[in-house]
Amino acid sequence: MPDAVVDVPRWSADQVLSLAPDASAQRAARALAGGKAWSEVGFSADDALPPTVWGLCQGSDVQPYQTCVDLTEPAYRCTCPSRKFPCKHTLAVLLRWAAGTVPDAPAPAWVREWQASRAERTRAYGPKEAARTGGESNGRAAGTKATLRRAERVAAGLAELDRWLADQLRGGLAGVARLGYAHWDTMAARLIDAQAPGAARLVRNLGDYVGDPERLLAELGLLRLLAAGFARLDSLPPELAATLRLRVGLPVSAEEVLAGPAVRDRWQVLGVRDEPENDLLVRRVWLRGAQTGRAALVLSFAGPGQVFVTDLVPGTALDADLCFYPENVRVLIARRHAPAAPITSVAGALPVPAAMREYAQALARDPWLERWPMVLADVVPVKAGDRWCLTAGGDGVPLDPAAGAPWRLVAAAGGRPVVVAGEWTAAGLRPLSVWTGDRLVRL
Amino acid sequence: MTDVVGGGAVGRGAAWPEVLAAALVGTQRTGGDAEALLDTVAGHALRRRAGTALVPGVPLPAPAPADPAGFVGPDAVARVDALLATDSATRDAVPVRDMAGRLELLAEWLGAAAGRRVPPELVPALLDVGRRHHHLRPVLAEVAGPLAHWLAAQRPDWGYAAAGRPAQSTVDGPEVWELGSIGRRGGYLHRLRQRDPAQARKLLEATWDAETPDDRAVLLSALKTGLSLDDEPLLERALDDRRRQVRVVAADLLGRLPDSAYGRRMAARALACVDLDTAGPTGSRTGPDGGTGPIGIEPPATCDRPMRRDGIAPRPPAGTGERAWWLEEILARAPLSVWPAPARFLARPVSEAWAVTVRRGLARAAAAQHDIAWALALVDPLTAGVVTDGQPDDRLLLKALYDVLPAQELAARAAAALDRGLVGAMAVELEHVLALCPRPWPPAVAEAVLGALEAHLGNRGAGWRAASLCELAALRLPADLAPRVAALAERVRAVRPNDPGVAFIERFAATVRFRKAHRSPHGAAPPRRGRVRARAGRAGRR
Repeated sequence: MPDAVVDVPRWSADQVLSLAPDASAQRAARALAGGKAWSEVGFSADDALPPTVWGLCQGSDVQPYQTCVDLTEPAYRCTCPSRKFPCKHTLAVLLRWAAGTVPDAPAPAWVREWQASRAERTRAYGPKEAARTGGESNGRAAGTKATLRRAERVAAGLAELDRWLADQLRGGLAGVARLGYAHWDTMAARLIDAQAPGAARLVRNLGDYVGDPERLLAELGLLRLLAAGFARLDSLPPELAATLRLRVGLPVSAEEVLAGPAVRDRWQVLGVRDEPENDLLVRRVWLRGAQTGRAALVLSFAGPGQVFVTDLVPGTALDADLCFYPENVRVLIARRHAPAAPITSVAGALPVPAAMREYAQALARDPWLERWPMVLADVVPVKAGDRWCLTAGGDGVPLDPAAGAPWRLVAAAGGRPVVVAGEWTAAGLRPLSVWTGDRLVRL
Repeated sequence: MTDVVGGGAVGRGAAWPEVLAAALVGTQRTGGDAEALLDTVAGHALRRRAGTALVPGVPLPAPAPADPAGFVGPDAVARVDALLATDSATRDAVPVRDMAGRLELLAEWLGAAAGRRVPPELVPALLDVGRRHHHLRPVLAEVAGPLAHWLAAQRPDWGYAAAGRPAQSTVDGPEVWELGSIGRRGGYLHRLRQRDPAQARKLLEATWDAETPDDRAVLLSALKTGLSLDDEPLLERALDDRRRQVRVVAADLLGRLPDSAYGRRMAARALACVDLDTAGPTGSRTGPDGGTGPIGIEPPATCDRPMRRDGIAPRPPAGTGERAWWLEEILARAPLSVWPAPARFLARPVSEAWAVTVRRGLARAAAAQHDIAWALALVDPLTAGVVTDGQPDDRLLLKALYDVLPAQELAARAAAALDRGLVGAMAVELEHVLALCPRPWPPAVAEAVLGALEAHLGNRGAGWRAASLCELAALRLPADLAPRVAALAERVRAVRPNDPGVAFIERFAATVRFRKAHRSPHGAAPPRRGRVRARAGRAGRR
């Protein structure tokens, strides 16, 4: 629990609305926030209570709904029957707080009870955040015998992958273009059977590069590194070995990650990108530490109809402890020290050559790195030939053509140098946000 | 492992192009060890990725011109963002779904911006809107500022917004006339007519004989813009065209020129059918307008060749007698200036058998010739006729007359019709009247619409007539009436709770509220706590 919080930085209305599960909830919340349905609205924070906003809202029920929000995480609770999460009452009470119309007041009993029960649960099960974004877990519970058996299966699967890779080069890549997706999916399925889902995903993706032999060949080379590396895992430096295991798809539990050293910083949210992957929607939130300069990735998943529960909004910074996965980019939030606060400038923006050097270093740590957050200082979007790129004069960083013509970025920059944050991939940079002066524009 | 294995094989130190070539062909044919090749590939792949080739020597562009104008406030930005959005989540923040309605909201938003600018990142979306919606271009340019010119120079699609072009001009140059599709050629001719009617006519005359009949019809109708007696020779020539559509267009255009030979021919025919010269009951004869007695009607006995050449259709529509039809056609095409003033003419009795035909003919003429006096004189009797027997043809004619009436006359009629009740009002094409009324509606119309809706919805709750009226009213009612609309929605909800059939009323209320918000939206952002902002208006998307 934080010590007596004197002043919690107030959120902007945008920050509040970004929590909404959909646009209709946003609209409803806006309408409700100004309404007369509220009574006993208050804000309180002390030794025993994290910063909390609460209120009673008269809805269609006889009893008013009890709505309260713990601002640190944030965590919500509302007694309304809505299945939306957070519901419009929650958003509305936050909007009132953001607008500065919520007075400081002693917390009523029901608020204290809720916070007490949450603290209880946290003690019992560890941080909630970790459970939420933890991915696979329970790896160790099954015991060492199962672990050993799995390692054997994975090793056998990767050995088969290695032979298969060589076969592709024996027959020549010119021929595989005709084979269609089934060719790659068969091998991918075998790797799934061998319990190497990470490698399986890489093989399945090969089908996308059939039209681009250079890319296809490069990906085969990286798979070779994976298979050959796994065969002599014990002789690798421990960090690289851990990264390799992760890339192959051996599970790392949230507990293991959280047991590692935590890095505290003011983590600036650079950009958010949602992408469908199989049946899930994957949200990647890219962070950079203001002091450490470290890049971090918060990954979350949403199934069909689900929404992302995250308060990581571009243009804010979060004072928190992060624990890194072995590949040194993906993180879990171990502990928040304060709610996210707006920022007016971005730290750690690099000139183009330095940014590329930094990426090369990251690649040396993890050859299978697919995305890397890049923050380029003082660049201008320009079209060179048929390709868009970002340049400070001289060399240009190519943009990913699949992202389309970056007209929003071009207009925001207006031909003047701006700071651009984006996701660097083998196909080029995908711009996510741009800072012009103290203004952030999401792309 | 050796550096070179076999004849065509590729060794460890081989360059990427050789490695790629070998991999494409396959080691089965080039010889050599596939696994060794794979290792070489791996090394190359990692090196190439780490040292991704940058695009060399990119020159910096000229920056956009500085723009001293301030920005609209953050709430206004959020609304225009929702109006312009392409993704469904942001789009849904606007209560109006259909494109036309959203464009009206956008036009209203842009009109309220009053010299302030949108944040630069929204300018591309605005320019995209302007590509298709020419009428918004001048307001768009105002809100986008000099950045629009700068962007337009980089993308041909936005060329219309480039600096130095008048706001209405388009990307199509004269080459379109030679090479373009018929649609673009027609558009080009139309625009040229606006600037230089004679030049446009010369252009058309030069290629007239070489055009296909279909194209002749399309291009000839472009002469509607800037029509004058100078166009008569070409139109007379087109009256002899082999294709019927071309003749119809020519006759229609000539009918708009009262002083043309065509007009004189029609006037002569009309006067032969209508005898104004009868004495009144007192036997007095007053002036050149003829007498005051009943008007004598003698429809033509045949539809001769010259009549057919002038566009009179010889075969009547089903249910109409031949002679009545010919009379109507002649009256519809004869210049209204041959008749006495409308009030005098209409005050005189006409034999009952021909009264309807005469009225229809004159109404058609009033609509075609945009004669306000005649339209005003005819619209009320025609409305009464539509209310009593409601012929579909008459309703169309009524709509055509509404198009001629000035705004305040429309408003008065809309209010009067609504006072008689919603159902009756809808029967006389009230929606068309309301759509033509100035926007936002003048107070009398707004009051009448709201009153009728309150009376209709207060007890029954719904009905398709109310739904379509609400859809229109959502966009056209003065936004200041939002509280009353909200109260109306509240009442309907009380009468019919949880009825999806009345969802349109919620949408109605939400839309008016949305619009009310941008009545006063464009002020600067309120300064946020703790920080003095140099450019307070720029808080856009924070």
